[in-house]
Amino acid sequence: MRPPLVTAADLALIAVLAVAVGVALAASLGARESGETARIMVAGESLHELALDRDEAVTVEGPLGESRIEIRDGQARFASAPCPRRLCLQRGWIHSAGDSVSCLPNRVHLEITGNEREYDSIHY
Amino acid sequence: MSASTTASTTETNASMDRRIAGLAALAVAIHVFESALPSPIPGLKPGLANVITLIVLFRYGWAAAGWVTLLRVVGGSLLLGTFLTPTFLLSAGGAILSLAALGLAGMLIRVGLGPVGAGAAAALGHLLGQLVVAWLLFIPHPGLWQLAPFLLAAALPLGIITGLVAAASLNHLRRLESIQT
Repeated sequence: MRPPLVTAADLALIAVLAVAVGVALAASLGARESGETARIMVAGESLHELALDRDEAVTVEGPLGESRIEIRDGQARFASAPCPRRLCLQRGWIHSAGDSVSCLPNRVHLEITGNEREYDSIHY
Repeated sequence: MSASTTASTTETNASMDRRIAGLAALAVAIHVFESALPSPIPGLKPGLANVITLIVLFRYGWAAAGWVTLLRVVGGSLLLGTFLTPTFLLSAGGAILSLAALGLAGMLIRVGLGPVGAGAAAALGHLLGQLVVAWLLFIPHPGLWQLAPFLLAAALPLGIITGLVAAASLNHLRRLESIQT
């Protein structure tokens, strides 16, 4: 006698809306994870784009030999390099968007890319 | 269910106007009462006034629901002293998109959609409307949209609760009418 509070069409529409909201949630969470990456370039050519949230190490081949780049705990650094003065190693870990390390002798360039770049300086 | 969406043709315009005014007054009262309730998250409210909108939609159709909602937003803001302030604009933006969502959902009433589904659609529409107004007028930053999925996820169950209250009220009204006749 009394009509049901919730009909099958209600459930169907709610399911469609819930899936849409779920997809939006998943997309926004996924986008946040891949926000920052380390880009590795050799001789001006972009070779690798590595997500900073995953620990890994890659070796690239430059004119002098192999440079090894390491990613750990959201930071990146040169772990080993064949260049004479090892300036790239001395720079240590970098992590904010816009930071970069260049190894000129071996022509390897490492930089952090991300949506929010920090300013080098601000003048008033 | 589908027969109740069109107003009775024997009714005159004046009596329909009076009915809309009375329902709008009821909605304004709920709107004002609800604004006194503390909200855990700013911008997130149960939307109890929407119960009236849903009841009007299912009994008197979309146009009447539109009138009641717009009167509630204007009347409520006059009583709360927020007329033409950002709060009012957010409320109006939410109401307009919520009505648009109800218009779309209204097409599904023929295939058995009830107040619960319509309430869920209206709640999502309301939240999107508020976000669009906030984005256009106050915070034109793409970061605002990062909030959208979380707020929408919270709005969906609130809309379903609103719809359940409206469905129970509609059943109750129908039972009262069957006793009278």
